[in-house]
Amino acid sequence: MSEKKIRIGFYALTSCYGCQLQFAMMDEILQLIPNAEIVCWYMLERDSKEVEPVDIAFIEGSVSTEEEVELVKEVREKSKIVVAVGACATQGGVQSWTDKPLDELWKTVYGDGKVKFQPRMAKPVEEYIKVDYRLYGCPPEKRDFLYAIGTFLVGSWPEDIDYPVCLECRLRGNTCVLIERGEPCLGPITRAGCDARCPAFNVACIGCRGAIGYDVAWFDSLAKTFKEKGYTKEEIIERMKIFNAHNPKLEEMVNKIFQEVKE
Amino acid sequence: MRYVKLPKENTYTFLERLKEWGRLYAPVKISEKFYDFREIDDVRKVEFHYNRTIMPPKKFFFQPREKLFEFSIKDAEYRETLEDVEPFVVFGVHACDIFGLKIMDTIYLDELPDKYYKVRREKGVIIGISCMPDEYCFCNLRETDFADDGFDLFLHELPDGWLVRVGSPTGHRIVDKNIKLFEEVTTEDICNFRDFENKRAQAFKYHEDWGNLRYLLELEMEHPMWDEQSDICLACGICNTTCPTCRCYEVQDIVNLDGNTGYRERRWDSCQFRSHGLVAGNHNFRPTKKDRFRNRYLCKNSYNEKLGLSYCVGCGRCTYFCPAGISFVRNLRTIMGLEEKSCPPELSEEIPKRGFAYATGIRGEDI
Amino acid sequence: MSENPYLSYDARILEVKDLTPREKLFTLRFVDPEVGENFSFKPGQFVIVDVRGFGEFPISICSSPTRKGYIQLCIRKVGRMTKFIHRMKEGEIVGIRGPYGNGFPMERMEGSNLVLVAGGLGMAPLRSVLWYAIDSGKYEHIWLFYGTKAYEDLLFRDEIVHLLKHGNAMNCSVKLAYEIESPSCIYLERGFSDRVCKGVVTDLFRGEEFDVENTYALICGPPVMYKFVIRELSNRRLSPGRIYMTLERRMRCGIGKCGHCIVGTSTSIKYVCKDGPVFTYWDALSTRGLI
Repeated sequence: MSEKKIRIGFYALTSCYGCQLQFAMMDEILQLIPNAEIVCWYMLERDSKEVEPVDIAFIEGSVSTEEEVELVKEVREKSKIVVAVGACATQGGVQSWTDKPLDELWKTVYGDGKVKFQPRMAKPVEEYIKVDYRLYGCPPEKRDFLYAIGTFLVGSWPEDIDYPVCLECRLRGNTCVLIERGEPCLGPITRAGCDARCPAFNVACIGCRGAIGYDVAWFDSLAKTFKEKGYTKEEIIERMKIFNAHNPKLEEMVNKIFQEVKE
Repeated sequence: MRYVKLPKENTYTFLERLKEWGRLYAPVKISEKFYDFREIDDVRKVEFHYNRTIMPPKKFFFQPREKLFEFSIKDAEYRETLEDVEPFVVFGVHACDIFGLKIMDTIYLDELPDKYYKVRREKGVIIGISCMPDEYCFCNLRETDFADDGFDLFLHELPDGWLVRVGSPTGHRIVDKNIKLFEEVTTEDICNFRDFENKRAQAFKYHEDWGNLRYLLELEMEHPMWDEQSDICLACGICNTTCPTCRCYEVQDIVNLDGNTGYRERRWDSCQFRSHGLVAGNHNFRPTKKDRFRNRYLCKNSYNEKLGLSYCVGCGRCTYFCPAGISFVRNLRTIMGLEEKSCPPELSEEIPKRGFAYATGIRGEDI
Repeated sequence: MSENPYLSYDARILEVKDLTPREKLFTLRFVDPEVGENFSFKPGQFVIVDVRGFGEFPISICSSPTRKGYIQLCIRKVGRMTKFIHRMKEGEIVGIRGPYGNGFPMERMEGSNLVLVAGGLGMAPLRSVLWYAIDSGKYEHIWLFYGTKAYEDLLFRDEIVHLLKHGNAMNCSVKLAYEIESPSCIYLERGFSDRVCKGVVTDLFRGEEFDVENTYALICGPPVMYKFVIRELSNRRLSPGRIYMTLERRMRCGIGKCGHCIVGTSTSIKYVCKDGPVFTYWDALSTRGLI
């Protein structure tokens, strides 16, 4: 094995910087220092403003301005591996929740004010560049970072989890908020990996890790279950769309359930 | 079998004494509707009348997450990590769950026994308790409603205490060490026990014979019920993880950030997940949700030859804890023809095709 | 203290040979000589290869048990773990545990003819049978029907071509089928026109006669191949009890515990790692979903 250090860079777009904070605050990051060189990370080092050539580039945040589109394209050119980190970069984040047009949103937030960036609707990073791997969550768990970087260090790559949070709730011995309280828990369609953190405190899952890929997120079955508990179509779609705004299957599958009633 | 009686007033003292044999786990109420086995400090919290726990007792022996090995890549080291298992007592296990553990034993303690399971099984003390069925229970149809063995002690409820059956040397030792707490069994106790058992047998919702269930399931693999029910299924895997006999597991290696050391962990898996039938090269032997849904019923109702039972013990957890409201029993009864609209509208072509399918010229007498 | 069946033993890679752009042949020997002594297997059995840091996967042993001191594994690069193992060099260590599975019943087949039908990567376990049969000399005539997509995908090319040319002396007939033409296979076809043809492996049965009372068929290939080959064999009146197939499924333990390899239905649930991977055609008829 060559002793060359892996070059890592962390870039931030429109985000709350929570994902970087999660990574920076891990104790295990000290174990990483002998093997890796952190080349570009603005949050930690003010001097690093340029996009540097790196082996692994972590990007957090959604693409919301024209300048950011250019930035991600440059990051893609100069990096061997691009990892999208966090709900904003992988799914668009909470800022993608709405369907309203850009001007209306602008007026609500900025009124008549002028700012020096060109806005766009918030979109996940992969709409503009090819993303190699993803870390999900808002923010991703410490364990996600450990797993992903661990696999890179041995020459492997992190695989996406394809099972729902329900498994982790059961492994942990939580009660089920969906069954017991009828709350709209999105656990059955949300990717696991967080060890069912929220349901352990009796908070219904909000789906921050995004819907499971590989076509196994059954929005229709879950919508039917919610419908039986008394939720309307608008409520269901609104809740599911918080972290899954750009999922093409969502509306179609939920609408299917409500259409059958009318016929 | 040896029988003794535990009077009601000595119950809590008995539970306290059990703590001398190891950590005590018993069913407690963990929320408004659900129960689970938890470690007991205050014996007054123990629930004697519960319908089912959300996690089956297999969690003590086949742990939800278990570290199997630790490795170091550069030094080519590979070490098993079996932590020292302390003795423990699981109190309040229903008969169906005791059968569930026996079924797990036939798989995990065969010619190549799983060491992690074996060590815990040897250190665990099982104390059973009798129960009254609710509308989800169907252990009478599965012939798992009365445990003959597989326990150390079994407590049957009487109006003034418990009739205790002693099922193993450890059970004998527990009784003998606390002999002052126990009394002789009287005729009145026997009458009460008989009444309880009779009342219990009547209290089950269904009374029928499920002997040919597994053949009907195979014949009816194209029944429309599979399409309808798998459509509402969430594929969440809760049915597998609450089942006392589901035993699939997945293994994952986690490498630490030094790029050298790490550990191998196993966790419960579910056949409802897409990756269960996936092989390298992306071929999936159970590609659709319907295939996986149907597979669970076929696997669960198959025949365990060592015990002469099916793998399902009739505890009702999969129905009780299903968020989508799918009833395992109702689906099986549909296949058995005991519910309405059971017969499929038309005979599918699959059955004739599945004979000597691949050579049309062959007839049986030629072979 | 009891044995841990999941513990793998270190094995050193003695040789890595490129067979095709996608497959490599690894020759391994156990680091502990006692483990190597006690390791005896039958053709058709498999081992679980343990790449520390990645995971484990099952691979059938492709060397014959008559050649002692080493085992050979033919590994195709398809996923994460196999991609890593392809980068490993001679001298490095992997973990091996096994042998698992029931293997082919070689004793029962002694004195009979063998028809080995291989498709693509399915040649690997059948190579073990082939050399066992040739080395032990206890079998009548051995046919090998091997179909691949292209000549370049032919595994163990030198051995196969050697048998093509000199097989008759060893009582072995080899026939090859390929789907995509290339100069090398046209050359072979010209040299052995009765034994090399363009097509699929079932085309190789044309014109062959077997004494069905004294012949066993062993099949291994991609899932889609089995039905067609069995149809050919059944049309020639070969009894289902004489048709053996070796199958694969996802496996994590190899010993019937993790449950991924289950096949069948409620009357016939089987574990491919414990009850297989070798099944007869009778098993396929009574176990729906086997092939």
